[in-house]
Amino acid sequence: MNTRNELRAHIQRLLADKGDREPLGDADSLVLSGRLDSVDILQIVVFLESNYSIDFAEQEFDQEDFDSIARILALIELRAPAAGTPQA
Amino acid sequence: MSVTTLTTPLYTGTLPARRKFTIIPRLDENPKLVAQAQTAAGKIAVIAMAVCLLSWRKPRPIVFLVAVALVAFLPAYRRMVLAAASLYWVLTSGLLGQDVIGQVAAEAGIHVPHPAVWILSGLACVSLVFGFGGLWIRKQGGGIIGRRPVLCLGVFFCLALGIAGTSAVPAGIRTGGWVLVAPLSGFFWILAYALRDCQRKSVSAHGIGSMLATLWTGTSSPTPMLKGPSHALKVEAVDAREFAVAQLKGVKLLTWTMVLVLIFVAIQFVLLKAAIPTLEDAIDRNLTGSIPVWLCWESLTGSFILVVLQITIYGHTIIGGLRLLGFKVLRNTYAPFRARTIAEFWNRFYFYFKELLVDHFYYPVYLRYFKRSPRLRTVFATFAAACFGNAFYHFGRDVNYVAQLGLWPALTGFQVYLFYAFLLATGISISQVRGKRRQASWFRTEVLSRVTVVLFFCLVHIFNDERRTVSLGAHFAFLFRLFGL
Repeated sequence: MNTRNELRAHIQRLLADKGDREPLGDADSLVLSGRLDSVDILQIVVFLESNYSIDFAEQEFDQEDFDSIARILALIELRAPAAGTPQA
Repeated sequence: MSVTTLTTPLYTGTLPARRKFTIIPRLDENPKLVAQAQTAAGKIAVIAMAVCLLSWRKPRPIVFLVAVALVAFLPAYRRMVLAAASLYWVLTSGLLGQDVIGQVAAEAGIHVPHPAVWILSGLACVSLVFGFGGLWIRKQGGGIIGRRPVLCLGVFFCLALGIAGTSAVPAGIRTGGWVLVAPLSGFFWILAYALRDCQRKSVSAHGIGSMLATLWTGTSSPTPMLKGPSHALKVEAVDAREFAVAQLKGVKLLTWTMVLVLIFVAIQFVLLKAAIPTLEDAIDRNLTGSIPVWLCWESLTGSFILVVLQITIYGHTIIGGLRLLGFKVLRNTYAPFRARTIAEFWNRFYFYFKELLVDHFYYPVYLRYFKRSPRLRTVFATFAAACFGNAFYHFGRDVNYVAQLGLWPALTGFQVYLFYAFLLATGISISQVRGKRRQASWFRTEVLSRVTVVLFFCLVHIFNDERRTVSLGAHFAFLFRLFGL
């Protein structure tokens, strides 16, 4: 599974847990629309920490970077040591 | 383990085919109404409804209604109108702390002709120092103010409060301290969000002007419902259709608020007629042993329901107003009694306060500490937010107690609220670490979990007492009395 699909599957699981089974586009807002809240973002943080070794303690953290799949992919591209390559 | 069991009940995406009945019609989802609201007649109708729906407020929000009319008919000047109106709301919000500085100065025998001017100048000094300091360090790279501006602001505030609240310090210096402390107390979190934005990206004057629209009700609460200048610009309507939808959502929410106001007044009337004491009175009367157990329960439940309604009305009013000004903001309270976990209740009850604590306490701690131990990481971050952050927020908000009582008595009197924050953090931590139980029965999921959550919040509400003169023991005595002990 590639990064985009893996991320999409993870976010859709989070949304499904909240009873939200609406379609999810790459550019669809997650945080500003209220589909995910600030604490849900931490689920994605943990996912990125464990799969892409991104250390948010060392870098600026902005909740709005998590507002859509496209923005999270851009974040991975920018911050992952081996961008887009999931860790074993 | 899941990081959280919080749900976001605020999602407003497309609706399923079968619509549920709602007391207030879904005005914003009717295409004809949305089109109508974009015409001159429609705009006048929306403004007229806003006038009717806000007529219960004292004083009448004249400036707000004029601002709504101007942004509706002159959309090109929207940000300018908001900036001008925001300046008025800052001056009249009650967050500048004129009363505190006037009181302190009078006690010190210092005549302050226009406390608001002094306080505004104090706020301007603090803003300039931290704004330019943050920008400069960011440009130069690496300094503590640039990396942790909100932490620096917090330390600065504590030091200033320490000086202002210590009686051993000369009166002139203390009064000077209060000139900084009083406005900082009110605007701390607005400034914190602005500094956080400043650290990350450029902050425009438009963003700051728009963000201050959160003060339109003249609120004395420092919790901003627009989370910074950048957030304010992101949630503003970008075209006539979005603006019309936002306004119709505002009308809908304010109509629901009217219903809640009527319910609130009715409950208050019943409690008054039935001679049920307020919770504070019941706690005090229990110390003399003259209050029956059933009256204790009635007082507690009545007080709890009124507080939930009060916060709901307060949040709905601000959000409804912001929507009328064209902000696509989420509700502050959404059906808290539907919550199945303690964490979910907190999220549904006071969304923007929870967001404030998560943004400024939970994230920084969660992202830095105990990464190898998920449970400890969650619990530690929860205590940082719900206990420490919550206590810091309330102590910093109510600096008038420091002015009245002095620093040490105000600190020791804070024990009751501190214990409340500890109980809250413990409940939320347990709720988060346990996660969701997928195999539970219908009764357990739909009934028992909800009753348990409401009972928890109702009982901890005993300690949600912001008075500084009643001991923790008196509150425990009331708790024991509830169970006949």
